[in-house]
Amino acid sequence: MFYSGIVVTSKPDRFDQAVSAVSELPGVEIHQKDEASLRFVAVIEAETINAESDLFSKIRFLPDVTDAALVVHRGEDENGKPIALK
Amino acid sequence: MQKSANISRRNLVKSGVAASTALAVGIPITPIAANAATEADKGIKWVKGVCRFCGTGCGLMVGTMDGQVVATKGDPDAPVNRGLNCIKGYFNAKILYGKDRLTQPLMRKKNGVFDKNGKFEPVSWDEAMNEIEKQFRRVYKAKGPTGVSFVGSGQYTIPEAYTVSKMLKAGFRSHNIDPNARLCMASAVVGFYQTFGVDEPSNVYDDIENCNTMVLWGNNMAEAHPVLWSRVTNTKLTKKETRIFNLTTHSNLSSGIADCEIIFKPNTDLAILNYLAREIVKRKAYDQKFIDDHCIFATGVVDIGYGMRPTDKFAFEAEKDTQAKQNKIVLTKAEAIGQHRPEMEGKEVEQKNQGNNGAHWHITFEEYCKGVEPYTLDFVAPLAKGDPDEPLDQFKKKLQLLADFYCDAKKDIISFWCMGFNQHVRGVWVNEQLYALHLLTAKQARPGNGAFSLTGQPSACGSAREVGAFSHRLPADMLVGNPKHRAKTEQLWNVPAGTINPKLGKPLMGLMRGLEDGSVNFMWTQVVNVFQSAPNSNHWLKAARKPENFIVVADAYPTLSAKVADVILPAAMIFEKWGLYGNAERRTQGWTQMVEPVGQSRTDIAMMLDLCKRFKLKETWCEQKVGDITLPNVLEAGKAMGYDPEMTLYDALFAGMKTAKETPWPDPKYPGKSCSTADALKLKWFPEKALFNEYRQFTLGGHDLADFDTYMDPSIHGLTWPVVNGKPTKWRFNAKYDPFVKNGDFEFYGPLMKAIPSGNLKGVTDKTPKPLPGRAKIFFRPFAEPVEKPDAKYDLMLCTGRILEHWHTGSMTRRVPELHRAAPHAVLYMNPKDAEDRGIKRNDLVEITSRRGSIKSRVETQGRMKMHRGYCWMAFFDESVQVNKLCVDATDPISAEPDYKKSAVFVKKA
Repeated sequence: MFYSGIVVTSKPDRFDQAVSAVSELPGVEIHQKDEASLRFVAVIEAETINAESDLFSKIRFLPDVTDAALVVHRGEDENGKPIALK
Repeated sequence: MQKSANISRRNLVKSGVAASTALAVGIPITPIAANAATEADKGIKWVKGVCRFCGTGCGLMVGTMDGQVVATKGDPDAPVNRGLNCIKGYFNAKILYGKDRLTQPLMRKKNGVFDKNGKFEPVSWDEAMNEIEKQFRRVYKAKGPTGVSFVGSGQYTIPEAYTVSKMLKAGFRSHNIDPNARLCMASAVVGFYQTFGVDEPSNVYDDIENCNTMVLWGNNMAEAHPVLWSRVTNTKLTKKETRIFNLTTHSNLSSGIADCEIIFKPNTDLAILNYLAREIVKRKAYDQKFIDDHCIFATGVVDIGYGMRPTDKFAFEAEKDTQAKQNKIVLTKAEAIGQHRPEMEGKEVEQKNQGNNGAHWHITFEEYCKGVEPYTLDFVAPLAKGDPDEPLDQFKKKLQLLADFYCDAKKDIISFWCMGFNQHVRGVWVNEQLYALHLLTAKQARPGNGAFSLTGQPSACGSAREVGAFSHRLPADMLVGNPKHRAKTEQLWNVPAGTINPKLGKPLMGLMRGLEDGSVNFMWTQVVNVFQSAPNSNHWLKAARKPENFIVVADAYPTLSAKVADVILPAAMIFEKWGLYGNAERRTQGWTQMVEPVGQSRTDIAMMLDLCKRFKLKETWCEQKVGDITLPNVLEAGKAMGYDPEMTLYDALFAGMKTAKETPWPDPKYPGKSCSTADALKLKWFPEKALFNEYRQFTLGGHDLADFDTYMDPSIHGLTWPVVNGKPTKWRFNAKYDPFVKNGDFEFYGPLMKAIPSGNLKGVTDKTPKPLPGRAKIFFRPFAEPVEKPDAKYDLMLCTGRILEHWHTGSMTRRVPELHRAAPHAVLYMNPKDAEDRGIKRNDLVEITSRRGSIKSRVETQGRMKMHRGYCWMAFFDESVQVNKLCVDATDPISAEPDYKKSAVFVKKA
């Protein structure tokens, strides 16, 4: 399984809508939020890096989103052991 | 239980990932979340790295376990990106593992021997290098230093660029080394040289947060420098007074948060900049004291041609009319007015200044004012308006607003530009003009104020430019053509006086043309896919296959260039070797080797050192006739220095370096670390460190770099040079920040600033050269048309560039299925009405034809690039589409950088 931590910046006055839109994407969870700076943390969980990147692109180009940046990226097997980013 | 343990683990990892993410960007987290972050990271060894991709130069932390990369994260302590990466940052590790990664040398063979018409077969390194040696020697004996060539890269590491430069210039006495940075930054470099006498920006990325106005000129930062764009976005959202202008030839992603989008016609940036300069003058918004103390005014020759060949001998029939403009053009009305010769409208003008295209002279302020006088709003607006459907009044208002900002002393302005300015037949001019605005208003080299030339590649600055791996350069801004610079280089390289060839090599397009015209018969390409990325590529693809030419491609993947090569060498990639990059803000950053190279791949340095072991000084330091000059025999002088003529170039130039003796391998400073270069050649010295530390000697006295170990220190996240007494420099030329300023509050101390004659707008009137110590030049440059404009047959203007998901020619990113899916094929972005007029619907397959070739692709009429009528756009990452078959190979004649942005095409349904 692959995981990425993304920081998303919403458009001004669209924070709740951005959070809602991102949370609706399958495999994406919302974590920390900082409305004052229009930013929130989303975590993508996917079986392949393929799927992760598709989700990242979808988030990046949502209408209520100004920007999205990748911060953390890692993979783990079912035993909790880190796996190569292949 | 297992299932709930798994869920529990996944939740822990997700919490840990979230917490790490929040921590990195300063979003508050709970202590429980912080614990989750630490737990999730257990067992992973984090090592400092740098992103492989663009010139932003994001810092990375790379997590390894059991010799593999298992995690990456944006380095939260990296001043450049503060923990952020863009989508390509996902794949810094994954690019190492594409299924078709080259793992073994390949050579064309028939019946067991090399045959140019044979199929590729796997061979040993020895067999590959034996054939390369044989072919190099054949060409070198027949044609000398001018017959062989290397095409290098702004993606070289610094030690790689230094190796190729020293090998060729000191060893083989050839300057036929030119990087793909010629295709992206050469105009910017000449703009720096002419304006400041020294290369590279005076400002830093922190100016994004320091300013209140940003102007993008031909730079789709949202896609091309995405993490810088994240910083811009953050500034815009948090500093309410921030305003952003996007000047572009087509609407793009950067227009999203821009306050004002200005769509202009290609090449009319020249006119718009003169309009702005005229407004500064008319409104007296210039800083007289700054100008009096620190600047002079200048102008130069026109009628310099378009960097094409002076003959149509090699031109396809269809391109001969464009080719003919190299020698003669018919002046348009706008050119005639803008160039102060209205009587020449509609007349033929010979391009008589091709041989002295960079000539310029000092003019008075009054002459400068005369120069910009024709560039009124009423002249410029109709000329420059790019969208035919935009009302002229609206366009005028935008230009006036832009002028208001440049003229306002209270605005702290950073102007950014990149390929729109540099890949331009008058790229040098337009770079100079933008500096002019900032120099007139004293908005340069100060926090929050400056004209900031952005670099596209990760180390076009650090490797290609600073090291001087160009056909006309030596390290640290020294030039081949300057005898004092050659002498200093010979001294630092410890080679005999007279070793270095005084004659410049060919720039990149010259090398490609050389393959076609027979003057170059050997080409070795490194970290570049030049047969896909060079414009007018049908010519060069064919030339590569000529029987007398021998092409070596060193790369990590089987690119288009590899397919036309004779030998393919598998190259080690970023974290498989030690390296350093220098990014767009003069920040040099280093990384240690983290994993072993895949298969039998070797570093480019190992390959070059191997080549050097096969040639002796007696073959190269002998007397050689090179065209109309004779290189002296320096073997006797070499003997006196301890060089036996039987010595190999390897022993003389590399193993014999003083720094090689000082840097053993293994290095006790790096216990447990590998060095793939040393391993490949069983070296007992540390090549990357020795090479860098020798190169560093060139930089002292103005380009100062720290030593190798400093950059490898985990606590150092790069340093902006000059680094003096361990302290980096942020704003150059500013006495408050730059230790090399000796006089006054600003000093433009560029060592290349020559004494120049004086004159007026028409020419030189006083040939006496006047020195310009410490001054920058404010240039007047006139409007000039692009070499191709749409006409009755080729009725659309095609522009090319890069998109967010893909890097350059897709050698790395197209192999990664994820990025491949995000943008599987290059599409032609067209205006919906233009498509409809041609019977074309969205997603139709079309044929696009220019004077130089035809390609096919699908059409996109929506999406994030919005075309106005008459204009279309395509990215160049896609080997299956090869847009460079269409592009004209006209260049800025001064910089020799091609103009990829303006080729006339027609489009029809396929």
